Amino acid sequence: MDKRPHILVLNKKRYFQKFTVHQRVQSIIQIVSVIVLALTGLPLRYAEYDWAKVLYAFFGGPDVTPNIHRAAGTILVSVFIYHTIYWMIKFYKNHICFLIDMKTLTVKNIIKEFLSQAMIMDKDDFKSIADHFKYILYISNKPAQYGRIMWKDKFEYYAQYWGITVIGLAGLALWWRDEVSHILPGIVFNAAYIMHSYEALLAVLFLFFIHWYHEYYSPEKFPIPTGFFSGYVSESQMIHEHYARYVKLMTEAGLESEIKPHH
Amino acid sequence: MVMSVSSADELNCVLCHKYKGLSRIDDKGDFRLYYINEQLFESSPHSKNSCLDCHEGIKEVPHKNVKEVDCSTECHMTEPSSDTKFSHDSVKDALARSVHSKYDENGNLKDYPEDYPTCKDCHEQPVYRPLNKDVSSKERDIARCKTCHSSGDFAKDMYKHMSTRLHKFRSPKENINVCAKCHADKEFNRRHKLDDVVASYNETFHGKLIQLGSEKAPDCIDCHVVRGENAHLIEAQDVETSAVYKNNKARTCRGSGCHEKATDNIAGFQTHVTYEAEKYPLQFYMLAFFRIVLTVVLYAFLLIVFLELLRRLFPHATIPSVIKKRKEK
Repeated sequence: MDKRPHILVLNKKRYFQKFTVHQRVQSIIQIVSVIVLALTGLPLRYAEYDWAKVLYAFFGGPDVTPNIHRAAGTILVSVFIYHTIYWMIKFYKNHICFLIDMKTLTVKNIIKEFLSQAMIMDKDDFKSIADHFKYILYISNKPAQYGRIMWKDKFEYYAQYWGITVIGLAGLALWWRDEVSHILPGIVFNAAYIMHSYEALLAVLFLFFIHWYHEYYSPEKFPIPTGFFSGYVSESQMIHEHYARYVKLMTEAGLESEIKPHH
Repeated sequence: MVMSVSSADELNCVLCHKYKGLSRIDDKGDFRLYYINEQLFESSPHSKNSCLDCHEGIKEVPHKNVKEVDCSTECHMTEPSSDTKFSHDSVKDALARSVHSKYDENGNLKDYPEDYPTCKDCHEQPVYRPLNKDVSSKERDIARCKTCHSSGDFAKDMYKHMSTRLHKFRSPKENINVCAKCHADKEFNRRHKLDDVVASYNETFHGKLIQLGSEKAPDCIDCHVVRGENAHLIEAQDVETSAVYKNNKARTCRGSGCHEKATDNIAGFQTHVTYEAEKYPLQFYMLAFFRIVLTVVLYAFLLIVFLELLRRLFPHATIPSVIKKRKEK
């Protein structure tokens, strides 16, 4: 659906496509809603601190802020569900229908097709994890070479499935507590409270220290990456993070002679 | 100087008691301050009482044989709805039936009777929220009352009284502080074998919303007093008429428009969780699980980030090459 070129030349600099428009819209909605969720949720966790009182009052105080938090949560979970359903439909059209046409629809084949999906860890990922650890532990001098999606991206992708499921379900129970009490015992709210609070803290800390390091603080990207916004990343970032894909795209474009070495 | 307390101060007590240093060390060795802050007194609920209503037995200067203030005394005021002398006696009765009485159901003194509160232990601060004094914008409303209640300031005073009592006299935060004076005291909790219920309450959404300035979230009294009952009748959780007795809990949660649509299941929510393994196993193990996940994931990735950054400084320093170079030398 996105017809834009894989390599874009602007002011004599090369930019490489990382995300399509469809993916970027999803990601920007997620970014905004997660930030709003963190800003309206953290003050509740740390209610005893003065900064929490200021932040909570900024969003409208105890009568308004919870509604903003719930609205942002609803948007995040909706995008998450949309994303999953979109993938399922695509998977059905491209793979299940193919298997039906070929008359080879078996559980084994479905699992095989599933494992061949872009976001699933494959042999290359395990190899690049091994390469990466060899590199950062000074065993090898050769940095790992990654395709379009590296193992860290995949880990974060799975972490979202775990995190949004845990936080979302707990949040839903705490939001609709009166209704939930019709089907579940009250101790569920104690469990939901711990789940929501601690998993959200993990998410916020992980995003701030690890994810933002990968996407914002690291030298190739600081202060702000272009990928999630324009869909294209710079050549140096491409070389650093997706060298295998860099070589592939350059070769496809007939620019083999201009391929720069991995740094 | 004009005396602002003059309406109630017929005997001109403020003539002396206006001096800030008026104090002495009493027979027990306690420091006693006799200064009266006129402004505070004016905006207090007792501003219409004369001093002698509460401080009985004062006949001469210096005062002799002064009785301790007893809040259940009949005041020299008439209670307008029943035409009887006003008194806080009903509060004393409710307190005597409550968990805060120093006598048990058989009339015997409980252990550490000095720990049980009397009126002034909770009501020592005179003004939490000043009386609704600015009624100038309400003159038209008050005029309607004055059609019948025309004499003096009765209508205006009643209006002030009612409009002040339409909200909690203390903010929820202050209500919690009153209970916390004893219930957050480690030594007190150890003596009475109680958990720190204030700390655990502050952990709940109710407590957090109140800390963030909510007036709607429930404080201690909202859940521990049966709806419509005297606020002083707080009963232990094993008393059948208590608001937090196991069969009454759900009704309490549904009360006052809070969790109206909830079923009895809502009573299963544990409010005062201490995260001790024996008492709250679910919470204890869940907390442990999430803390371990959080620590492991964060530190593992932080270590990787650190190693990656460090590696950038030494791009060619693999261990085999270091060894090789040494050998060559």
